[in-house]
Amino acid sequence: MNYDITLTVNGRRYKLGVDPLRTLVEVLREDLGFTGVKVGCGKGECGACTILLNGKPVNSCLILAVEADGSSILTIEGLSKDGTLHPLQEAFVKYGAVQCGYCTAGMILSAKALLDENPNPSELDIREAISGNLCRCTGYAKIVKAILEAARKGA
Amino acid sequence: MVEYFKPSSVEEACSLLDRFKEGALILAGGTDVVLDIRYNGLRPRCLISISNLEGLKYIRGDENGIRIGAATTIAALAKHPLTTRGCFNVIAEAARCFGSPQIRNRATVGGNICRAGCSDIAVPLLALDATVNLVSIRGERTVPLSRFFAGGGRTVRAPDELVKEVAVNNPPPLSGSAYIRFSYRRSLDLPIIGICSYLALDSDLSRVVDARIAMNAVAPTPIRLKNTESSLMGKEASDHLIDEAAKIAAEEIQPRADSYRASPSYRRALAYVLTKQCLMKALAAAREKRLS
Amino acid sequence: MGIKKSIPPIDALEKVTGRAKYCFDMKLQGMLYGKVKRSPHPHARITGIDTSKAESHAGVWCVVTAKDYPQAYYGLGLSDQPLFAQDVVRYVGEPVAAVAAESERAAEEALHLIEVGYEELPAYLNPEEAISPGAQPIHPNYSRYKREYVTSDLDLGLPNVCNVYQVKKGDVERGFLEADLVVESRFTTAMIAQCPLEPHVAIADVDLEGNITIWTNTQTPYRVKHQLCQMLRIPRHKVRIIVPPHVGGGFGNRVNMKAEGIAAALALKAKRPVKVAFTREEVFTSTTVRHPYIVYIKDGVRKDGRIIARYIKVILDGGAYADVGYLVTSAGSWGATAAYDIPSFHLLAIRAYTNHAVGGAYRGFGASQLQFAVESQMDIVAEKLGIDPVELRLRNLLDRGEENVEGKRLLTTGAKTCLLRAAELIGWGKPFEKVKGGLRRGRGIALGARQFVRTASSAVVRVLDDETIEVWSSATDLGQGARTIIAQIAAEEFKAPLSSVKVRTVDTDVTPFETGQAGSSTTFKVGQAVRLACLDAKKQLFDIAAKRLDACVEDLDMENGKIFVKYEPERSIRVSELFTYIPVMRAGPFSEYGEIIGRATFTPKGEDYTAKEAVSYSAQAVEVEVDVSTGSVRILKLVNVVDPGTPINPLLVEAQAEGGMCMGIGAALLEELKLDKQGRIVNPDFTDYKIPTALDVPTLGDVIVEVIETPYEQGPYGAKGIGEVVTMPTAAAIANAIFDAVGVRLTHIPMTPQRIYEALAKEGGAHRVLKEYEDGLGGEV
Repeated sequence: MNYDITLTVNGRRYKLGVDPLRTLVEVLREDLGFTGVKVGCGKGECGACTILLNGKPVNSCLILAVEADGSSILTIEGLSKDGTLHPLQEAFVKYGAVQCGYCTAGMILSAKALLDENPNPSELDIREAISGNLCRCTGYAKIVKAILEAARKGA
Repeated sequence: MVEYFKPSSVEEACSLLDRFKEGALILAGGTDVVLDIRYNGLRPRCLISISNLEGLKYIRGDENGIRIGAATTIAALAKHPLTTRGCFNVIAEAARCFGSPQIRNRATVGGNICRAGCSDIAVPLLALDATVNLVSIRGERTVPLSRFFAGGGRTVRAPDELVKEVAVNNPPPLSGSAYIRFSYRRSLDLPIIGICSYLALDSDLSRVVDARIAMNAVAPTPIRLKNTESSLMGKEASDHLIDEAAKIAAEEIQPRADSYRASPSYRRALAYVLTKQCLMKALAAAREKRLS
Repeated sequence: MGIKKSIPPIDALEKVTGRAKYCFDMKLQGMLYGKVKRSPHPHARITGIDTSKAESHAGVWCVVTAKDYPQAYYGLGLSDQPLFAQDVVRYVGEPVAAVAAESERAAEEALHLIEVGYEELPAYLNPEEAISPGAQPIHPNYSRYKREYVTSDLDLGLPNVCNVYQVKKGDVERGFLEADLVVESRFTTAMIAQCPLEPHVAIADVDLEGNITIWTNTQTPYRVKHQLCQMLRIPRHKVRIIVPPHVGGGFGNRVNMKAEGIAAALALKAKRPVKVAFTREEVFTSTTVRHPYIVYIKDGVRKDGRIIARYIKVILDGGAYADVGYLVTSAGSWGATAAYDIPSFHLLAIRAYTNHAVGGAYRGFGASQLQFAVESQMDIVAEKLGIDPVELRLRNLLDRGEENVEGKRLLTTGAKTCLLRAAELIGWGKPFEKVKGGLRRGRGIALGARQFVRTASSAVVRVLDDETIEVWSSATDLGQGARTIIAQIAAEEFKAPLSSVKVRTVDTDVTPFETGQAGSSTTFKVGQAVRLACLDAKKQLFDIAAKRLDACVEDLDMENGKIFVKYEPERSIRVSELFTYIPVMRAGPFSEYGEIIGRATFTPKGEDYTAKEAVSYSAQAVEVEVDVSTGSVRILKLVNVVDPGTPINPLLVEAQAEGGMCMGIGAALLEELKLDKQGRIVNPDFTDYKIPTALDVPTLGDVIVEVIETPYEQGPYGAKGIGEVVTMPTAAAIANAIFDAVGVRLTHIPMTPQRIYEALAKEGGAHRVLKEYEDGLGGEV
């Protein structure tokens, strides 16, 4: 049995009918094509599927799509406006904070949520904000540098 | 096959629970139950979503203490002025170490205590002697949190009941609390041991008039260490007293023999060391009150 | 233009915008979903499989078992691994059957409907037990398996030996007699996982003629192709492997066939494309792991610090099958032969079969575990002799021009520079606060040394009329920046802007042979191949340009798409002008050569695929703080001085160093896969298998990475390798620092708080620890 929900994703409204047991990550990826939302573990233990739900970072693999009805969702695909990169995206590129890139989308969104709330974070604030996003490639150093720079630039 | 309901009031939620009873799954943050659905074959007859029920999302203070709606997120607890103040700060401290930022934005106080087993947020709430308010169409009842857990994974919540709120009374003026959580990683980790201690002193700030120590990950549910508490009650607060109490705590816990996370002897060693630290911090916090 | 430039990876933009497409994101029209039924037992005979209920389940297209592929065995070097368990299962997680269905859910449901009967057999979870006389063979048909490399002729006459490797030089027994002191130690390392963030996935599609195309996130496309063809007994032209341009990490976990065979088997039977995506749990249990090691080291040393004899016995806990662990047995030994000059040396490595997850490639390829042992032992020897640990190493380092224990003359330098610089940066020898209440601080140092693999690699370079330079290479970019390095080298050779270089998708139908990304080899072998292919293409361009400019080829040079005469630069012609269009049909373009296609194959000199004479270094020094009351360790400062030869891209070298240290910290302090008595991994998830989070590594100000350049003339522009060595010495550096802090030597990794606490309690006595702690605690809260 399907339930009708409305999701606003990256500023666009979508109306869908979903099985109540389907997760938000499945619906975003399979039904709406937002493959920028990654699957690393499917259990909320790695943060690769992080999206902003009404401005707050959450693991989309732990949310049933029906629960997100009426919500505003930001995925990585919605971050740059009209082809202009968000300062976080620019900084990640500039500092080489991207290696395999699989954690990157979730990482950037967690950072964005931090900067939206705290435009002047300390390094510790940043590490705490991304502490739910696992990265195996970078050791986090350049990621932290990139977020500090984006903050300096007034992200 | 599975029905989904999003009640807009507590009353509506209760009548749904009355209708479905054990067949209902209450969905708050979902950070645990979505895993059960996805990986452990859980198939309830219906889902009752309370994650957005305004009537359950609040942190209120009155002259008695604070009241926290069951659907309040752990993230909200981590930074609310009421939970970061004085003795209640242990609630915010526990909330800040909980899971990860993403998990904290969804997990709720009601959902976490109903999980029973390793509930992190139960630890400071137990030490603060919280009560749980349960509602159903049959009425309301209040149960001390210390009597809410019924064994690994189970609580005294009846199948038609909904946890409505958790309440904590204001502690007396000359009291202090402290929270320590020990895990191998500094995020995304379950605790090897979580401890919260609460001490209330007499007007001379020398005698312990009330003591509560709560722990998780050392028994099938979060527990109060009654023997340890008794050893402190009515006694002169001193380093030696605390040291002895910490030794009793190490004996009182029942860590899992077959745990692959930490051996029983290590958990006992930690219980000794960290209970001592925790009590010293609570004592210092209580003594500081004289100055404020 | 190209090399020694710190440029961000060329695909970073796609990754930060979510436009990067990974294999996990791919879908094909009409695709089915494949799921795998796996053994719940570590060792059992299969008494029967009934797939009828699964086959008739709604949405299911087919079920495959060993019955469909009775002789399908594969391996690298030793083909001992069946696609689906034949009559016996040998580890928990081994594939027994697979289902292809219209949805993942239908496939998962069908798995539960497959009935498998098992008769349990005794299982070996301990490698020393498995190879002790009288143990039951896990592979009774071992001698009949196909072999492709010559293995050691050494027959130890022991059961369950998968492979043996031996290095012998001089006379160790005599050395022990002549030594002033003999030091014996035993070290062990836990089973750990590579944990690339993208799970393994393969999508297989088969056409009417039985040609199989597989999209996969492998790091060794040609090896997968080879293994698949060998296993299915089909000619090589019938298999095409395509690797999407973005892969979510590798670290060795994607070496050799993983999901590809299962996807192909299902697609062949279903006659529709099938996608097999592993869950995270399957990645932990059923791909490969890092071999747990048991290392016995016996050193004969002189009072002056010279190690004159060293005997090492290594037991690799191999798990149920050989996979590439067959090779780890020999190549892992480089961890003990790379750095030091030891007159009498004997290493014996034995890879044991056991009934658990399969040991394969993990960054370091077995050398990491050995270097934990060797670099810890160096400190133990130093302490016993009363010599400073840095000094002891310096006295035993292999210098350029000297022969290592395998008789190879070292052609590179860097060890001494890295070691001394790391020591300097950590403040070695300078006093520092060692006691702070119940906290103890200490410093430790270790030298990582890694030779790199030097296998063949081919590349093709095509120059287009719009001056674009296309590179066709089968080097897979796992995030390490392979495509960026390739582009930089091409840009350097053509003196062209980086933006004019396009690195094409890895596709074995088009991109030429490459052994794969492993062994820190990519910059070296792929770099050489690309560089030589560029030279070949340039020659073709110059041949045409020479005629047009009426000059000699030797007098020409090119830059930014313009070919000019060196002594008369105004005499020039653009690359685009070398192409013409066929006027009538407006078709083309082509040049006098037709297409400008340069090609080259870089092959190692001689048969030896290992560049044992070239070593990369990573000296790591660390300052730790131990809380003796709980055993917790905090890393206060970490220094990593790396020598990659010439850094083609210093930013990427730094990135490797930082990422490598983090992985090293995980292996040293946090990570272990735990087996229960039934051989089941109890923590196949990211909560209980703990890789470091951003809060578990030191802050920016506490980490120093430095890159030392010591060019190696046989490498492209002097480059060596760097991918693995950066993670190899971390564990020993931390163990040495812990010893400095609390006087306790830990010989097992990970050094979890529980283990450190127990070691403190045991060695110092509980009284000493608690008394010290209490003294520190008194008055302090």
